Amino acid sequence: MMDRLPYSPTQRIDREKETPFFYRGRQYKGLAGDTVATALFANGIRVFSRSLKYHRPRGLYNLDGYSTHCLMSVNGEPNVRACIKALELNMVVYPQNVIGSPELDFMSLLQWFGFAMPAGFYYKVFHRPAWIWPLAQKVLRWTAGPGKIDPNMTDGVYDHKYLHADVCVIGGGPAGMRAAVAAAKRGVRVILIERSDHLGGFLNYRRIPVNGGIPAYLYGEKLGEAVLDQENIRRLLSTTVTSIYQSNHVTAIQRGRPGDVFLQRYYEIRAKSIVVATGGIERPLIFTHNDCPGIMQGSCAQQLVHTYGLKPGNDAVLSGAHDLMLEVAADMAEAGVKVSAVTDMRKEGFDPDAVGRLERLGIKFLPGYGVAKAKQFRTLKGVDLRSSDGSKKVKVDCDVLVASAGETPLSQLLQVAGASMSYNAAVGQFLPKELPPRIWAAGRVLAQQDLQTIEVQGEVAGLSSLQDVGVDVKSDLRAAQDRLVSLPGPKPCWSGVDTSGKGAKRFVDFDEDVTVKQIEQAIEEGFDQPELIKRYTAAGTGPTQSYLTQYNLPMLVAKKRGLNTGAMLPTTIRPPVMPTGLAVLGGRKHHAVKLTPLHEQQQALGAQFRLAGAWQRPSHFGDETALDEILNVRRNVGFIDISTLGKFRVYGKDAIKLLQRVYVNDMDRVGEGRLTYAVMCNEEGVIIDDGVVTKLKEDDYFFTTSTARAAETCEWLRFHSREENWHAFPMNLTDAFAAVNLAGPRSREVLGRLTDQDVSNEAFPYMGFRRMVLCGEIQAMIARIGFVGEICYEIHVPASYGPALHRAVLEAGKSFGIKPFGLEAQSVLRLEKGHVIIVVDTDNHTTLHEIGMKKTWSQHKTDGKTVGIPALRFAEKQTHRQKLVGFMMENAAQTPPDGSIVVNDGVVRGRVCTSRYSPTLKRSIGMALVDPELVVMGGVLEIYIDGRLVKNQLPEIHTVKANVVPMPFYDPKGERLRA
Amino acid sequence: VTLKPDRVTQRNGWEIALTYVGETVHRPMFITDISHVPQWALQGHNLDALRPAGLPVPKKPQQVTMGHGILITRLTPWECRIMALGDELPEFMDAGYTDVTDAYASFAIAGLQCLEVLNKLCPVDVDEPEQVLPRSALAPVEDVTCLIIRLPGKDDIPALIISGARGYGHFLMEIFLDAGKEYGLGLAGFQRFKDRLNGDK
Repeated sequence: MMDRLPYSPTQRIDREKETPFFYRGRQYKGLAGDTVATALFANGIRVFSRSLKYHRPRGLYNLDGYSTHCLMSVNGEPNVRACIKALELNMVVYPQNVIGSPELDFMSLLQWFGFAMPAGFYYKVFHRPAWIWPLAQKVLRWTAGPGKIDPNMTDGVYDHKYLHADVCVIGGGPAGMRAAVAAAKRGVRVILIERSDHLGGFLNYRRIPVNGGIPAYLYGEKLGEAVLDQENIRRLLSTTVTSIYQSNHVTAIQRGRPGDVFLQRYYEIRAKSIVVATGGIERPLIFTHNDCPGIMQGSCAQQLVHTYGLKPGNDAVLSGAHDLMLEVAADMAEAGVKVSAVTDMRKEGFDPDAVGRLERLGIKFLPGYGVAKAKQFRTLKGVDLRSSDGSKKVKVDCDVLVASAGETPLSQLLQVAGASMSYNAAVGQFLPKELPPRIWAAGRVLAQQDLQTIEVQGEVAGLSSLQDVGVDVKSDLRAAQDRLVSLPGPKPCWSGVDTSGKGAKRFVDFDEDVTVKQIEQAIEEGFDQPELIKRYTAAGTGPTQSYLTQYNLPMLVAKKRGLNTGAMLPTTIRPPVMPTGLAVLGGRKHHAVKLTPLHEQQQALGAQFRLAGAWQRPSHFGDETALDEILNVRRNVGFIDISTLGKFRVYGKDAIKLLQRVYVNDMDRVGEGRLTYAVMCNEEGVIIDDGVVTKLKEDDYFFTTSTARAAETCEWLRFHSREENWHAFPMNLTDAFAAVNLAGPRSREVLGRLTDQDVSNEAFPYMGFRRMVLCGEIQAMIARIGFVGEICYEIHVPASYGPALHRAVLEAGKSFGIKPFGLEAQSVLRLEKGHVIIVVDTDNHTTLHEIGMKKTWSQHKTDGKTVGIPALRFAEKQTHRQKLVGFMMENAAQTPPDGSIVVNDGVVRGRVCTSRYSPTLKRSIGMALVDPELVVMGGVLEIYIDGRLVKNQLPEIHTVKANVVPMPFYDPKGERLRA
Repeated sequence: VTLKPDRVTQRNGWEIALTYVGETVHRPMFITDISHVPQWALQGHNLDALRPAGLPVPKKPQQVTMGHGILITRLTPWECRIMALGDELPEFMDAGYTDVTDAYASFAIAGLQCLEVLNKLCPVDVDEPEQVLPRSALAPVEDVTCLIIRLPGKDDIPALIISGARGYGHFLMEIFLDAGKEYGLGLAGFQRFKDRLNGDK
């Protein structure tokens, strides 16, 4: 590990805490407080990655997460920005997109074939002959592209959090901090979001005196303390805002720091007002080989020195067009770096104090000069400097070049929020023309450079946001605005783009290896707008989301087309403004599943569960064909958990009107002590639900519905009740009751053991409903129905008595051979009886007519009274509608899968609804919805079924035959269920 | 979540764990299963005129009336939910009342950071500074619609009641314990919640 610079109060490293980590399988040591990138840098690693297309070497360029040079695989997670990823103990780090090592990458040969990869080459080549494209696609994907996901990656915790604020301030620099404090002082809830790990912004790593001679970092700390003093400011550090959506919905992602319980946390923040104070970013200077390892931005060099105690290099040259470079040069020299030259594209307008500091340090300053070319052999070896008119040239050896063309506002969030941009010629920047409502901006994002101006503008933004939330601060706001007017505004910046070098490898976009030459080529081919060029060359489409090309691309296009500076606008910004992992959007692996009150008891009996709607329900208790369960119901007695059935109470003087409205049956016939099977249709006459209804007492009814639609049915009833302002109040009691269906020829005897009441066929007939006390204390509602074709009792008890009921039923039925049965057995049992299950056997077109349930429709009801009846009358006359038929397979053991297609002469004529092997009938049976022409008793149905699956091939298709037979298959007279 | 009950009592036919074996009394935050607390749904067109258990029905949705251990939460213009947290059990004989105790799994969560836990699971704001407590919201908790009631704070320590469909009871308890892990949320018996209601933190 290289030596660190002596202690300085700006440093964020803990020299006492060595942090070992692994890079390419070898152990290195960093310090607590390092990022992965600075730890690698401290260990002498200079080449971090290879570029996407040409596999050019890339090194440390930026320490704010805005460059792809440092994308690495960390602990198996690809594309991690090593420059902002905090180093942790025993981290495992690998470079990406290399074959060999970053220093010696086999694929780097590609850079010599750049001539074969002009802009849009993939649109032009590999298309003829057609067979070559799939091959070329594979090769392109293999040679290029970001990292690979490690299937053995340690599972991280990805968290979500929803926050609410009156004012959300994005950016923890001086403008953001002042805005947050100004708002918080009035007692409102403030959220302050900062992308880096510390508040302070650009003050954090600078030592120049500001506001009365205080070192910048100390002044930043002072502003930070003012934030800490306000308890109503929630600070979110290490958090990147990814978008601002409608209604001030802010999304952000927080990086987990060492000790955090999460790897990443996704925030959704609803704020009444927003202040954007995101600051600025250095834009790249374009010259030949401007991507070489050893070239970095000014803030990067400054952070290396002041935050991490590292020398950026031994021999440095700095080149820029703004005063920051002069400051960085002096800082580096004071840190012991030999600074050979500082060039500035400007010829005037320098900060005299900064120039004086260079002179005092004996640093050569070359105004009107820039870098023409970087000389490299894997890393930087020297630079060619040239005067702006090209008349003078200087060659300098160096191992680090600090270069940037100036600062660009980070206005991406303002743009996604809806701000339109325009070029401000006086400032030389693209700035928002106007801001969306309840969004304010302050500081360097509006191109301000003077610290006092930045702060006061932050205060103005904070106070303005208070106005949005209804806090009257008019006089304070006016005073702050007056102060702002008297302060210096933005200074004009250098609006040039490149240094007019001539090399082929002058990169406009590092992510996608897009060069100046390719931009020129695109313009020559007619792509004359940045939006078109972006798509043709891929400039700005890489992982940095155009942060580094946002300014340079339109300026370069304008220059190459001979237009005025600023004639071309930046390309559209779309959310998320920073790449977002799917894992963090997915969050924790919570999957909301409902369990019935009998779940644990059934689990203990060996139930194999499956999802049925929102519920976990037993599919079977042994063999997955459930043959034993089926036969036990037919011969003895079984019981199934039906707690999931929709269960409702509806009461009020208009309850009957409501029932008449939603059911096609005549609900006036529903009486106390007996059940009515009833069906609901929608406006199109399509069946949406069914169940049984009974009257509890006057104006008070109880009914059941299917499992799948319980919640919707309740809303369906409420909708109609409220629409008519009826005194009818539905109450969803689905979860309030545990229920079992006790079924089989011995079920009456089992029920008899649970209650003292008379359960004989005379006292409790088929379709009867009784309230009973079971086991001496459990209040139960019992409905005698016959869904599975035997004597059946649906027993409903309060959910908390569910386990007790389960125990009691098992005990009472022990001597009768009682066994639980699951959904699979129920499906076969009801199929044998010819009973349909809504949604399973019907679809979004199935009316009563198709499935032969017309008799449930009370024809004497007026059309306007019941939902769906006009449509049913219409459908009744349609002769082409499909019909439900029963079938038996010619091959008794062959069972087509549910949903198989019924064909006739190669034309699709219907589908299989349900088909199973019936152990009772000892052959496969089923129900199908088919065209009316096929409804001929004894007729043959041809059914397509998939055959053997062969990898990468469509499945073979077989045709099997079945005969149309009458339904029900079992007990056609219904004698057993009425017994 | 399996903890062995230590002290157990009976209430309205329910067996309630007052404390659990190994329950850490000094945990900064606790969650208690209060699914046994009697609940009624009251529906009607004239709720404003009614006084269940002698308390007025709140005028607007989200408002909550509290007194004598009874909470009345206005859900919609036509419906309110009544919870009997105290020892006295009111009797509601009118047809407008439906006993829904068994329909819901309910939990009480209390502790300085309990709103942080809720923020991880629910997008609805129950911390508006201007709101009058108690206050309620019908909101999704990780896709499960729940009634959330924020109780008045004791020494600024917030407390919540969460009530969702009973079928989701296991799920809700698991996600709250998972989300609360980083804040030290632990399971506690009903006694801890009773103490909290009575003002003894």
